[in-house]
Amino acid sequence: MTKIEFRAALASKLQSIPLAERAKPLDYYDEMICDRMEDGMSEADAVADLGNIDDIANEILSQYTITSLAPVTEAPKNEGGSTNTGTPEFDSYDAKNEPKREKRRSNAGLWIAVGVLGFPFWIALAAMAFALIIGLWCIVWAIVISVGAMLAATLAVGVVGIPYGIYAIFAVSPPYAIYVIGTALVSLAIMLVLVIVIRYVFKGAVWISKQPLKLFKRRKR
Amino acid sequence: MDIQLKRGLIEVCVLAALLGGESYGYALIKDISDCMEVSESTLYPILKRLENASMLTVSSREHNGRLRKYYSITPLGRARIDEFESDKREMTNVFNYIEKKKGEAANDKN
Repeated sequence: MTKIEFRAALASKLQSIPLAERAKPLDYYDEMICDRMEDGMSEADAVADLGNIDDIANEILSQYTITSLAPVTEAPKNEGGSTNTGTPEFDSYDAKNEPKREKRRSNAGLWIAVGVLGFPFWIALAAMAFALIIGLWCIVWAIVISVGAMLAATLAVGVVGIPYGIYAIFAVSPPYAIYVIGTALVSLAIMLVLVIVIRYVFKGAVWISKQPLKLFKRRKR
Repeated sequence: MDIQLKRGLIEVCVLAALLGGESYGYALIKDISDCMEVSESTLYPILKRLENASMLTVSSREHNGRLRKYYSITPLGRARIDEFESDKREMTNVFNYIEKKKGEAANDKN
């Protein structure tokens, strides 16, 4: 095998390592082959001298096993010559775990299958959710409109009532005028309260209207 | 030999080989083979680990039209060698202790 063939063969076994990380071990073995050739070996002998390519690949891959989330620390002092540097990948030579990427791929396939097979169900569910949202929206804004209508009514009574009441002192009778003006004032008072109420109701309605849109944005991301 | 123990020994061998100055991949392997048989694939993670622990540094230089990596020892690396040498005392104590206990056990039988 030539040096280039060896590199290509090894690279194909290192697919699960991120591309940026792959060059380091590949370069390392390239160097070893070149050094041996400088020492007088033929290219084929130099490559053969490295040993079994699968063993080499496994050795490299075992460094990328994530065994814990412990942060990298300086090499702690240990008795008896053991050498834990605290780097998670290097401390375990146990059974190699499947790289995380492969797991994600198989899950996506499952989701697609469920999505396609359950199509009628999902459609019905979505329609239901949509109807609920529309219903809620209608209720909320109906409240706003109702309060608004009350506000308009009380304002109208107040605005019309007071001049009419004053006129009524002379045109009809003082007691009647008091009744009219009294009603108008009460109406105006209620209107002022409604002005405050409608601000909150309106803000609430706007907020509720925004909620479904927020959910949509999150999913799209 | 216990794999952790072996890895530790190779580490110290590598560092000791660098005491005489910087070295590179294959030369390092040939050097260490006086002490222990090490293959490239065993050496690779050990070199990475020593570099992460700042016990050696790596620099790339041009050599015969290609880039070659040269390894040099650091003060931390030297400290590791000293630590290993002081471990020797403790280890000798334990070996002697084992000898003694074995001897006592044999005498008790008689």
